[in-house]
Amino acid sequence: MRKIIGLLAISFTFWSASNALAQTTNPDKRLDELEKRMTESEARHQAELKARDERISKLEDEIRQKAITPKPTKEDIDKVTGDILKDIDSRTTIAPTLRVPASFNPDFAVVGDYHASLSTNNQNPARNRFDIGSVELDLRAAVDPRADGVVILPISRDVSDPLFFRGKADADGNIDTNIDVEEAYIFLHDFGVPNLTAKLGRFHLRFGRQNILHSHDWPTVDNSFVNQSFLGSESLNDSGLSLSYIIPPNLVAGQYIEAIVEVISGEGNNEDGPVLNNSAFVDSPALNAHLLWNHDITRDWNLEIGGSFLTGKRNDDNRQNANLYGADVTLIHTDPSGRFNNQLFQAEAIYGDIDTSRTDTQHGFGAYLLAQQQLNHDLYFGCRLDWTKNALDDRQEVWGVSPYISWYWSEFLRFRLEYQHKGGDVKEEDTLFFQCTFIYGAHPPHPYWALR
Amino acid sequence: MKTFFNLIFFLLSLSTHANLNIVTTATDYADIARQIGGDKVDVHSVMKGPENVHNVMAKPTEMVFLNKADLFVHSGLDTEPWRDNLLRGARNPRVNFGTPGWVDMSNGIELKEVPTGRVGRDQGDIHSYGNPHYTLNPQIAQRMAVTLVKAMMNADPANADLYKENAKKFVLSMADLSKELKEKFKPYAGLKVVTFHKAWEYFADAVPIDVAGTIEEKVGITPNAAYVKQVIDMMKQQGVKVVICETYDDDKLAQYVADQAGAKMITLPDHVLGVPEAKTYQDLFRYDVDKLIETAKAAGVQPKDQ
Repeated sequence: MRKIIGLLAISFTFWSASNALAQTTNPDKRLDELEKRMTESEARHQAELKARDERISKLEDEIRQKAITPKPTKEDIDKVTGDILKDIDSRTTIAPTLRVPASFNPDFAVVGDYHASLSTNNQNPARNRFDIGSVELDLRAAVDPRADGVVILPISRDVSDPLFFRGKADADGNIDTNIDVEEAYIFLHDFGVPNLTAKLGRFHLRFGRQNILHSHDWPTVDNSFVNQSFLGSESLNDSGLSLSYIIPPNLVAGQYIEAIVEVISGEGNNEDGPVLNNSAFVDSPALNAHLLWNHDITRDWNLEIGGSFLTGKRNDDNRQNANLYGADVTLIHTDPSGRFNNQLFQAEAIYGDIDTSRTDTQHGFGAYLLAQQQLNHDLYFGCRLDWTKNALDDRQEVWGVSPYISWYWSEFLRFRLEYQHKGGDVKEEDTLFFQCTFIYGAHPPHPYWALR
Repeated sequence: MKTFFNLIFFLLSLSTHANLNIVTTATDYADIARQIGGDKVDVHSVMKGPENVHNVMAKPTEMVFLNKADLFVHSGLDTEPWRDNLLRGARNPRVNFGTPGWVDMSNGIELKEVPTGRVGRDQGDIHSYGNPHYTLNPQIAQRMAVTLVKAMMNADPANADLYKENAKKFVLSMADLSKELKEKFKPYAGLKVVTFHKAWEYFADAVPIDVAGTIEEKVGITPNAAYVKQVIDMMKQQGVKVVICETYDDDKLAQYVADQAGAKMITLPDHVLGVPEAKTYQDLFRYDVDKLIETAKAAGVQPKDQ
């Protein structure tokens, strides 16, 4: 029995050992097989990658070849030429190519105007501060084939900044945040009378050259002193009808002569209007007229001369009159090489006969002279000289010198630095202005003489 | 008395033979109009030649010409942002949008670089319709001639046959020019260039240059120093030996880039009358190709074996 048990034990031991040996041999074999398969797989993968790289390289070559090889062969040129000759003979008209989907939304732009100043005048609350001066919403679109609609809504944060500032009593320093209707009019550009257009609504008056501009289009940070004194801190706007007529060039030896007549309410800019601040009633309308002549002296020199006349009533008193007479000259030299070394010279003068009571009439006068040199595509340097009487008190005068530099980082982002010395019958001051103007959206082109 | 009536009749006959008045935004369209219309047309171009077509000054004196125009010929795209000011000021309903007098020269032209997806000012002064410098290609000029001659024939049927014949001559001359340019530039085919503005992409289809890059990173925006350095490095790496600066762009910057990269800079017109020598469309292309070859030679680019 012991032998049997011993034999069984030996057999079991032998079986176990042989089994264990077999087990240690098979994994090695499997590992070898696995390694072999992996090596083969890697080789296959490398080959695939190589083939792909070659194909990418080939495609890149093809693309480069396409770029550098002229697309049309001589046969192509002959074929296209043949097709085009057929097109000329054909009676069919060419269908216009639609480039963008139609849209009936108005063009919408936002104009931001950021101001900062550093001044020796610590009493004026409008100095030594920085703020977003205004954000202007500009909406415009065709109303129908004959009329366009324009609406300009500035949202402003104003601090009163009187031109004739003498002390704290002249300005309260309150920040006046409001939304205004700067312009809202329908522009009739084709109503059957040749060369005649009309604006109906509220608009900038065509008095002189700069009054028609929105503040962000001015060449300087602030408005000219004479315009501030006679027309308003920013511009003279009013409601009514504006008619503009170009005298047929063939009647005036090919010259550009434009006549503008505006019948307006006489309300002006409410409390901001130094001259026109009447009621909007129809019994006291005001009349504005502007005549301008534009002429090319040579191919590169352009001259514009204008004259303006505004007459209206003041202070809800239909027995007090306000008459303004204006003259403006703009001379532009464009760089004949096309490289933006353009020059602008501009001057405006205003004379006023303004009744400040039923017995007193003020005979004020003022003018500015502006010279600007465009240095390159992006940089402008200029200087404005101002002198004006107070439109409502001709014993007071103010003058200023304002050199500035404007840098257009891009078409729609501009930085401007302006130094201004102000003197006369005001608190004398030296101020450094900084302005950042940005526009986004569909803004219309600038006026031609803005050289932009 | 008879002499007096003859004089009156003569003056009246003069007035009834008024020419077709054509106002164009660019000098290129003006030249095509002159070549097609001959002495039957009075052509005036608002752009004078060397300036940037995007920044032309639309003065009131230009409105005098447009006021009496029978045809207003323009790019049809946003190439001329000043166009609407001019049109509104001219008060000529015959050339308003949608009238036969409104001649859109982009009709039938396949534009390059048409933006896809979102378009914004962060892409620079991007042209929302695509690259608008399509006039710099003689084969595209053939297509423009078709658009223009149709409008001229419609506006002045009395001279339609003359316009048609002249248009055919122009188209054939452009075909000859295309072949001539290709042949002339063959030794330098594939010449790598850097341009200031993206104005030469259509030209590169007619004359086999390889536009490797532009000095402007974003269209119409003056590049910053870091980007200029990238362009110089790229030129060195790729062996770009020629820099093209348009007549209106910053040639000092272009010269600097060329100097730093060991290349040569050439100022080339991209419009008719951009330089006095480029009096016609044909002159423009011949001038540009001749100057490019001269510059390539001066830069040490070896011509290929023919």
